[in-house]
Amino acid sequence: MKATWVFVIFSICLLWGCNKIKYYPDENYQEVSTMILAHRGGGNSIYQENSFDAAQYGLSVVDGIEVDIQISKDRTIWMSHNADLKDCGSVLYDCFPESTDGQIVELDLCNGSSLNFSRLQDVFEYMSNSYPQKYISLDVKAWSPCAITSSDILGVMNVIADEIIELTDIYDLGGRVMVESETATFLNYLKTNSTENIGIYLTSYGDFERAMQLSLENDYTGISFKYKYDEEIGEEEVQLIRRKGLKIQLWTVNSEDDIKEALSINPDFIQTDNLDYFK
Amino acid sequence: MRFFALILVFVSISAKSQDSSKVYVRGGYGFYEGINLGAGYNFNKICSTGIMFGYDNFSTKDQETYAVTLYFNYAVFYIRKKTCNKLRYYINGKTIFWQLTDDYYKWRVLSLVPSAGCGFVISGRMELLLDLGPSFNVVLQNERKTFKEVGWPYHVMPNASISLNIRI
Repeated sequence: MKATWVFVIFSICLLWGCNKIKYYPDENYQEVSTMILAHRGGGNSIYQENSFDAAQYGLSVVDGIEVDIQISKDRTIWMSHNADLKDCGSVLYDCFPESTDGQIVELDLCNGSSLNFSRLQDVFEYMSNSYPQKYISLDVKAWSPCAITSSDILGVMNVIADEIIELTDIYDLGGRVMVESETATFLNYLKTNSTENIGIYLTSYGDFERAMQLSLENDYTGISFKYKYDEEIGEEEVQLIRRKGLKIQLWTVNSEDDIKEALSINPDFIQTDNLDYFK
Repeated sequence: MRFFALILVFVSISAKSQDSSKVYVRGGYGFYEGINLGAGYNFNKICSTGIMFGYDNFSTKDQETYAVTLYFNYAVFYIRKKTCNKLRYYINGKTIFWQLTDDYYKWRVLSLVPSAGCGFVISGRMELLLDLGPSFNVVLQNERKTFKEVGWPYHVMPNASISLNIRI
């Protein structure tokens, strides 16, 4: 009995000086020059979004590109915003995780030039040969499963993580590849399994405070923040996040006024469709 | 302090109109409850419930905390010692709503605290209670005041409290 009382009173004394809030220490603050990324590969260019041609164009104009990715049944990463695949005539397709590479190529050919699918591997190879100092940000979304066999969304996303790690290693793009996602479990898997220097960004649709805290807690590289969507972001927020050792991407900043405003607060990266502004 | 005095008066008045053996006032200190004062009701020798209002700006520098605690005690077994003193062990569920303000933020947080404790009957009217358990904290609302720091309430922290019950 005495031991119980001593234990509880000792606990109270220990807790007395404890803080209820966890504060994160400052890191070395570093000024950066903002890098521009072409949204969906080629921004507002004439090229189809998330295609090899768009990526080639985007890399030739600005500091890097952002592309959306999906994975096929054969574990190949393809560039596409949506997971579902359109039908072509009488041929019906489900979605990327349910289709083989052969079926995706077949659909590509069936659609003629109106819809092309490109492999991420081709873009990595091109970057490695022609623009090894530029950046690529990969947007990975957790889609609703299109069939029971691909219902393990996190499992599918973890396979995507494995493939990204392998491609980054093969093409020696460590430090140039970034991954952004809303799914913390996927980002944690990527962080744990990656020996390469892959930037890990938590996507946020407006809750800056929570995104920053989660990134600090999970030791991510930074946050990918939807610009002027739910919350405003200014110079103070950017300086604070950088002082804490995080980076920030802003997306998608398109109008001239918004680009000027976003550049004035000095984020690490800006994703834009307006490549004409930077030509 | 006026607020606490009012609660005491309110509880005293309420107690007179009820079974005097079942209502008690309670005061003490808890990590999340703060320095607190409140009242409770014994359903029987086993179950009791109550509410406490707490305040704390002493334990952690530059932080001010207000807390409202709802609790439910359930005595798991009862030991009568050879002496006149009685000991009882109980399990306890607390819901604590607390608001913390410091230089950087204002937080509103809900804590759920399952805990275990023991009570030491000092006299026929007084009992000293000690309990300990994990506090699971959920942020309800936060407001940033300055851009100097980044923080977040701990998701889980131990909580310990000591309190004195006085039956009216």
